[in-house]
Amino acid sequence: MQLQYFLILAAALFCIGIFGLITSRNAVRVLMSIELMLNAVNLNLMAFSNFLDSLEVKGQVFTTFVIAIAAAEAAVGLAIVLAIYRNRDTVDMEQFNLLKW
Amino acid sequence: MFVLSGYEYLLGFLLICSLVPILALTAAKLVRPSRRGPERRTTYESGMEPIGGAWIQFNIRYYMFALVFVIFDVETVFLYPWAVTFNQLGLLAFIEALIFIAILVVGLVYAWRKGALEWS
Amino acid sequence: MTLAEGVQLVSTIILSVMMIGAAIGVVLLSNIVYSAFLLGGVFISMAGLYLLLNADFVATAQVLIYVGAVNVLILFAIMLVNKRQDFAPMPKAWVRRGATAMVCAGLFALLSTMVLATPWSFSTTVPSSAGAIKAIGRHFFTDFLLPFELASVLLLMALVGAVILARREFIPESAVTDLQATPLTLPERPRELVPVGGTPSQEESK
Repeated sequence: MQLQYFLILAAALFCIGIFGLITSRNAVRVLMSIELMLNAVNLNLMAFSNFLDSLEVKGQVFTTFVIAIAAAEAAVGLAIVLAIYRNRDTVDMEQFNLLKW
Repeated sequence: MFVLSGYEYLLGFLLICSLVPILALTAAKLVRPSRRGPERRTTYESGMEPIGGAWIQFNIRYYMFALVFVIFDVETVFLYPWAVTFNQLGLLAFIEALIFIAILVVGLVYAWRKGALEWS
Repeated sequence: MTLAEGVQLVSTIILSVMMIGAAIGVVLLSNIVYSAFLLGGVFISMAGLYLLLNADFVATAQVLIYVGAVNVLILFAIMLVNKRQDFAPMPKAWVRRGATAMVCAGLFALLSTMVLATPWSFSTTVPSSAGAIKAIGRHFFTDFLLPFELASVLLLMALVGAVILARREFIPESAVTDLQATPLTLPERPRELVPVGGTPSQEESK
């Protein structure tokens, strides 16, 4: 029952992340929601690694890569937010409509 | 199933660590006189009068340093398992880790040339 | 000697409650600085859960990278775009939030039933008590060698891209006069490349 507990916990965190991703209007909070979702995925991988594959800990290797990619994503994403803020003077997602018809 | 050993010390440490501020703040709350005034709500700035709010716009140079720090923090995490298993892996892994470091040194040189590491 | 079963259970429950509560706070609080600090709480609880899953190295990496670096980066970014502005209210905002909440709850129900209905094949081996770091190191240099090297290329690309994007200095407010000039032109500020390490005289004359 332990594995299912961790998987449901990760599912809850993932759904909270999706809710924040869709409803937030601050661009930085959107990036924070993406971090929440990546953390939910990591928790899944760690639970699988511990309960299904406890000798070859490939889930932990995967998690390390996901953490590295999340760090790179945060660096570039926040730089993009800063660049948009510099041009449009706002971080409101509703006003980022340059590509909207 | 939790198999790692030695973490009961960490747990005890965490409990004591969280008890210290709770006890200190509760004891202070019991002893101190309670007077509310506008002076009390200002930020404590070593006895000086605080100038402006704490929520000012930071300089972008802080962001540049944090950015470079993030990248090399991740590099450290990748190199630590290599350092632990160094004796078992041998020369080939050493060369591979050198390639890894060399690629990131290119990034360091780039950031340096672009002035991301300078304050001035 | 390891932790007793009851202690493990209690720690798991406390960490889970902390994590879910902090995550809901991240999403729902209106002040984004509080959200950023609560995000650090989510990351720390997550590191505790990793520790309970016998992953000491990944828990350390979580604290080191997420709490130490990514959260600080997010805080700096928040302080850089700190305007204390209230967004213009949108009509029918509650419809959007309600629909999103319903979709998320449905997704959660779907995932939970899937998790509970799947017959998992649990491994019967006991994980090694020495931690997994040596196995991770072996994986990095044998069968995960290509991702390992590609990770460094990815980090290099992220560093170069982020430095290019963030390098331009903030242009003072006086330069923004015709922000809403005509609807057909893109409302952008004049962009001039000023290196971060520019001399003070350049910045004064701007």
